[in-house]
Amino acid sequence: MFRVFFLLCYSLLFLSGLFVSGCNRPFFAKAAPSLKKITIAYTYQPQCTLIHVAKEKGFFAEEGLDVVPLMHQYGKAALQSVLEHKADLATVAETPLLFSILNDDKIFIISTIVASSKNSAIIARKDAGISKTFDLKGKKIGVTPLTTGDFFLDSLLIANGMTRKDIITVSLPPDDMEEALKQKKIDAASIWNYPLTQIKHILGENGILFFDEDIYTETFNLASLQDYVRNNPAVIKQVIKAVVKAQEYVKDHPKEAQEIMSRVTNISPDLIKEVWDAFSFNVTLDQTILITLEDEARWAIKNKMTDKPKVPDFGNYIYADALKSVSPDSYKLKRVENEN
Amino acid sequence: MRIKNQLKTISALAIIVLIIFISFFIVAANKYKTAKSVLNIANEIQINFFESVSFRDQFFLYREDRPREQWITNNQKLDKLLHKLETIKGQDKTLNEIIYSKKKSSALFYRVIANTALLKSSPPNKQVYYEFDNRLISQIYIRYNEFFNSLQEIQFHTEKEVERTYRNLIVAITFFAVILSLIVTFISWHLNGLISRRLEILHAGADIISQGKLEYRINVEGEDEFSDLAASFNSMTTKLQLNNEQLELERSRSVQNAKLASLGEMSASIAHEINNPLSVIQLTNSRLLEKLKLDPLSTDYIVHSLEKIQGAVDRINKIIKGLTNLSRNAANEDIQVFSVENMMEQVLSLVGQKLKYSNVDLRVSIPPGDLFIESSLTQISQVLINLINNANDAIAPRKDKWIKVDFKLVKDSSIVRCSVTDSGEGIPSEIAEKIMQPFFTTKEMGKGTGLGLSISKEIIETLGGKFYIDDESPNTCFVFELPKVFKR
Repeated sequence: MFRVFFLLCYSLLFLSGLFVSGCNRPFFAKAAPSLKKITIAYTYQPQCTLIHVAKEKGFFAEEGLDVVPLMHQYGKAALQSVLEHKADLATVAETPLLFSILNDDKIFIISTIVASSKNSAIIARKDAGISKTFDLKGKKIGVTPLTTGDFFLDSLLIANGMTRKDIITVSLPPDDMEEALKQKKIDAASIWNYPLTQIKHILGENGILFFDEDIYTETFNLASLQDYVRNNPAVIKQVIKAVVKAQEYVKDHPKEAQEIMSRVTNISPDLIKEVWDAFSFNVTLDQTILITLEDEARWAIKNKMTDKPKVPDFGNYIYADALKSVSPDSYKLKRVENEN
Repeated sequence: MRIKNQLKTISALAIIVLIIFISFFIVAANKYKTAKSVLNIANEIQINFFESVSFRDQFFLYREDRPREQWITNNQKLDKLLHKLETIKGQDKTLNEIIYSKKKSSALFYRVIANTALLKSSPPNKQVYYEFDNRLISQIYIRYNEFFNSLQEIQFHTEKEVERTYRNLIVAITFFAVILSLIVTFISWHLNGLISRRLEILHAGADIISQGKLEYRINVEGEDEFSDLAASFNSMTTKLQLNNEQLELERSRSVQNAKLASLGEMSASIAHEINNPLSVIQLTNSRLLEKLKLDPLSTDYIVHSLEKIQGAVDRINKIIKGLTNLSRNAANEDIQVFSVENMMEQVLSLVGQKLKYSNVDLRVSIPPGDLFIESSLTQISQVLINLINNANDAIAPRKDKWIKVDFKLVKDSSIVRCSVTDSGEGIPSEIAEKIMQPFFTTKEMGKGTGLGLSISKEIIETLGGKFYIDDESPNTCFVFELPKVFKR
C-alpha cells in the first residue's frame, strides 16, 4: 500500500515533467541476435542448481548463449573435460581446481556459485562396528582421490586426533561407493550429495553419518581455461549474467527451482528438498575460495600429493572482471593476513 | 447548497485528506527512523568489531594465557547489538546469515580453545592437533568474512533504504504542502467566487436602493445564505417602499392640514382686520341715527359721518380685494412679474392690523425704485405672512418688539435676498437643527401646526431658491433667496 502510494506520488511528480519535456522516444524492438554456442560441463549434483535453472528458464538464451551441456557425475570429471578442450566452462569444487593449479594447468576461477559446510560427510556401516568417529580407526574408508571427499575425510580425521595412517583408504569413484558399501568392500565412504543421502537411505538403520560443519566449507565454482576466458570475455560476462539471474530466481522461487532440478536430473523431489538447505546459492567471489584453496594446498603439500614446495598465489587464478562488471556487490575478495 | 454546509463539506474533505497524508507521513517517518536505526547499529558493529580490528584479534587471544574475559565481554556486546538489530529489522535472511556466522565463529573459537589446551598438554600426535588448529582458524576466517560480507550487505541495502525512505519523506512532505496549498487555494477561490458573484450583487443592489430607488429588487439565485439575505433585503425594501408611500401620503395630508390651519389663522386675522372698519361703520351709523331722531343734523356732520362710513367701507374693500387677489393667484399658481412694494402692501393689509395691536414696529426695506421679481406672488406672500406671524408670536413676551423685512439684490442682481428679522435673540443651535423639520414647533399646544417653516422652505426650494436661518445675525433672522427671474 505504502509503496503503491509513493509510486503514485512519483508518477504524478514526474509525469508532468515527461509531458513538458515532450519525451516521446519510440521504443525500438531489440533485434534478436544469433546465439553464441558454448559448452558447459556440469553435473547432476545440487551444486549445479544455478546452471540447470539458467538453462531451463532460458536465462542463457536471454543473454545470447546457446549452452551445450556436457554432463558428468562429479565436478572433477567436468573440469577434466575443460582441460581436454571438450568443454568451454566447467562447474567444479575447489579441490579438483587446487590439483589442477598445482599441476600448472592454466585455468581461471570465474565465480563461486555455491558454498556449503554440510554437503560432505562420512557414511559408515554400523555392522562394521562403527558407532562413533573414533571407531573409524583401522576401517576401510572409500574415497575419491583429489576431491572434496578426500579433503573432508582428512579434516574429519584430524578433528578427532587421527591421520590417514589410522585408516585404510580405498580409492573409488563416487558412483561405486554405494555398491562397495552394500557388498561390504568398504566400512565407510567419504562422499557428498546426492550419493551421501541416497546411501544413508539405503543403509537405513545400519547407516551412520559423521559430519562436522566447523571443519570444512566446500565451494562449487565456474572455471575455464585462461586462454578461453581471455579470448571470450564477453561470453564469460554473459554466462555470469545468466547465472546471477538464476540465483535471483532460486532465491525467489525455491520450490520451482527444486521442481526444475527434479525434472532435469530425474532425482526425486524429496531427496532434492532434503538436501536443499545445505547449500547457499550465491554467485560470488569471496575469501572462502582462497582460504579453502590455501588450506587444501597446505594439506596436499604436507601429504606429498604434489611436488610443489609452497602454496601458490591463488589470486593469479581468479578472473573477477566479469563478476565485477555484472554484479559488483558480489565481488568481496580481499587479502586477509593469516597470522598462522 | 447552503454555504455553511459547503464550508462544512470542504472542511471535512480537507480533514480527511490531511489525515490520510499525515498517516502516510507518519509511516514514512517511522520507516526512515527504522532504517536509520538499523544503519546506525550496523555501522556500530562495523566500527567496533571490524574497523578497530578487535573482532579479528579476539579470535586469536586463545594463543595467549591472558584471561579471555575481554573476548567474552565483546561477544556479549555483539550479541546485544545483533539482538537489537533483529528486534528492529525482524526476520531477515542476511541478518540470519550474520547471526549464523557469529554463532559458528563463537563455536569455532571454543573448539580452538579446547584444541589449544590439548596442544599445551603435548599429546603424542601433536602435529595432528596443530593441523586441526590451522583448519579451525581457516574456518573462523571464512565465518568472519561471511559475517563481514553480510554486514556490508545490510549496510549497503540499509543505506539505500535510508535514502529511499528519506526521499519518500520529502515526497510526503511536498505532497502534504501541495495538498494543503491546493485546499487553501480552493477555499480562497471558492470564497472569492461567493464574494464576487453573490455578495457584490447584494452590494450593488444596496447601493441602488440607497439612492432612493425603492422599487429595485436584488436578484440572487440559489438557496444559500446570500439568496436568503437578498430575499430579506427585498422584503425590507418592499416594506420601506410601502412606509415611504404612506409617509408621503401622511405628509401631504399634514401639509393640507397646515394650509387649512394657516387659512384659519389668516381668517382670524382677516376677521380682525374687517371687524375694525365694521365697528367704525356700526358706531358712526348708530350715532348718526340717534342724532337724527333728536335734532336735525347739520349737513357737515352728516357728510363727515358718511365719509367716515365710506372710509371704513373702503378699508373693508381693500382687505377683500387683497384677499381676492391672494386667493385667485394661489388657485392659479401662476408665475408672474410683480412689484415687491405691491406684494408687501397686500401682505401688510393682512397682518398690519395684528401687528399694530401687538405694538410691533414693522420696518420694510425695499431697494429704491421698487423691485420686480418673476415668481409666484401668492406663494411668496404666503411665506412672508408665515414668517411675520411667527416673528410676531415669538417676540410677544418682549418689551422691544420690531420686525424688519429687508429686500436686497445680490450676486450681480440675479438673486433677490429677503430677510425677516425680529427683535428676538436668535434660535438656539439645538432647535435650529430641527426647526425646519415638519411638525416641529416651539409654540404652545394648539397654537401652531409645526408645519409653517417646513412648508415655507419647500415653497422657496420649489421656486428654485434657498431658505435658511442666518446664524451670523445677532437677532432671529430667517432668509430666503430667489432667482430674480424664475427659471423654468
